[in-house]
Amino acid sequence: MLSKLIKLDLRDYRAKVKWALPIYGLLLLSVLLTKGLSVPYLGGFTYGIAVVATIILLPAALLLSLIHYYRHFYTNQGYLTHTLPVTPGQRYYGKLVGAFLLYFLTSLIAIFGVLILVLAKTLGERTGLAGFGTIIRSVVSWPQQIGLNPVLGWLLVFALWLFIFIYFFATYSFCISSGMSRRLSRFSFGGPIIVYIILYIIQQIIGLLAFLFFPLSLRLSVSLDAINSGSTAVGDVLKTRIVTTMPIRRFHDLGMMGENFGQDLPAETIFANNGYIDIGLGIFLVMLAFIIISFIWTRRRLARIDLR
Amino acid sequence: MITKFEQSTAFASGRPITSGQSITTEQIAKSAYSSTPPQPSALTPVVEVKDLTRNYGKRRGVESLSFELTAGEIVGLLGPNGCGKTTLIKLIMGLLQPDRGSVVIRGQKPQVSYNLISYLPENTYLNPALTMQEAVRIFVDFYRDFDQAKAWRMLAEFGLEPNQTLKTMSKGMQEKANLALVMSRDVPLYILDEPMGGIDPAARETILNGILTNYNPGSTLLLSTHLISDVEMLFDRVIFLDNGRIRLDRSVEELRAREGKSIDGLFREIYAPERGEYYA
Repeated sequence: MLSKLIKLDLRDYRAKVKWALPIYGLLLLSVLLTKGLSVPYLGGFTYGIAVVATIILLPAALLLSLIHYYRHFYTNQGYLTHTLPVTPGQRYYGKLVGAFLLYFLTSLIAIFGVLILVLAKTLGERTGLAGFGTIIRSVVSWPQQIGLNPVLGWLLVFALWLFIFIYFFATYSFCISSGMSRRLSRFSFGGPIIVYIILYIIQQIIGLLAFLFFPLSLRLSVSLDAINSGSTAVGDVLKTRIVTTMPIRRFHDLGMMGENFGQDLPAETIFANNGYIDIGLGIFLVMLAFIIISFIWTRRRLARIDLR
Repeated sequence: MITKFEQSTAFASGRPITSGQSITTEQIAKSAYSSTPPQPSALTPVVEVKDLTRNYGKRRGVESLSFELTAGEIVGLLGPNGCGKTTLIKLIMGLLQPDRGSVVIRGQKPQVSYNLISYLPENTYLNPALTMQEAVRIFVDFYRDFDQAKAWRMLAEFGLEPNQTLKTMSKGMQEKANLALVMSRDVPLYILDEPMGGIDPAARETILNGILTNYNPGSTLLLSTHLISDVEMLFDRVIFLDNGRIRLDRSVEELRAREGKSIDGLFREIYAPERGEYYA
């Protein structure tokens, strides 16, 4: 049944974006023709539009999945969605997977768009495929350029890409399902907005506390000597390690707490004499905890739906 | 005595009913559906509603409702606008949570009984961007009891095209499309919420015929409406709701024998004098 729910979602997404994809394709083609052939003014114009379109692709996909979640569960369409012979969990995870597939496919399209934009630019600059290859190689090798293991570097990118989606889904599903619950449903779409504002304030407070007091930090040391000697290798300049220390201790030692809280200190003050700074990682644990709580809570909300 | 099935079929075909006619239940059942009907016991309640209460803030939705629906009954849920019909149906469907009381469908909670219920809500619940073909596909995917051939037959009778999208249809056509899908399922319980609300009389007749000719006689049908004169010949039993409470819950036969009036006449007598309204 989960696969059928996902199919239902994909069918709806397809109905919504069936015009967007050919339009984007035409835009990329026009960029190749105008920018690639260096057509004055028009080349820059289409290139600019295509860059903006490519940048907004992923946010648009996330927004579409948010609207879809609201419509499928809390408008007239909810009367169908909530009376299908499936469990609330299947309903919820169906939406999660459907939205992820949309995000995944949009990411592929965005990557393809970026490649076309780079190609158009290099064609326009008369560096052709050789220039295109150079740019792509330079992008692919970014982890090595900052002294990171390439596998680890790209794994971090993948983790960030995945985290953005999961966190966004957890946030909007939590806000919509809580905001459309019995107590707040009289505010219509204002309910989810109220929940989001409250959630944001709570997250900021807990996030700050976790950042300062949770005993898990990324310790950053910057070698001022390496900088002064003109070294540009990130590995020489920056040293990192995970420590189980509360970041507030170092802030306190540096005199950044109390009256000076929030004030910037010069790098020399922080990093001189093997100095370091601890970046609190507790905030990520708070986000992870929120994702888990959101999944459990929202699934329960869907089991006690209240469509007024 | 004229059976409910004889009444239904006669109404659907537009011919008058006489007690001497010899239409058997089997004949009607044969013509009405192609798949095997469920075999519920007439004594087992299909729906049990106990002390059901739901308020919207200070406003009363329904209060202390208790009744049972048994297999094979056609029950009219009647009352003026805002009396609690849709609230009651949503509670039965598990789409609203009660303040108090319970709903049990064949011994189960509503939320786990959706394979037993075919539900037509007040407003169209399909994505307007879908074509009829896609809408049928959804029902095929999710409901094992869905009779696709029957759905296409009904849609053709209603004059709806497979490639037509719902957003290009009038309200009456959308209502017909939804009804074709809902009545093409073979389930113990059909719940239709105002299937003819806001629709012109000609379309009402088509929809009514659609319900009658495709209804499974072994199943229970709960139909809410305030357009009583159009449908009253269907009902075995009527439940009159008034301001969230049951005002009357009787068999139609008993009511006609005791009161000597049509259900529509009785309805007007009960509600109109108090409110000065006329429900046609």
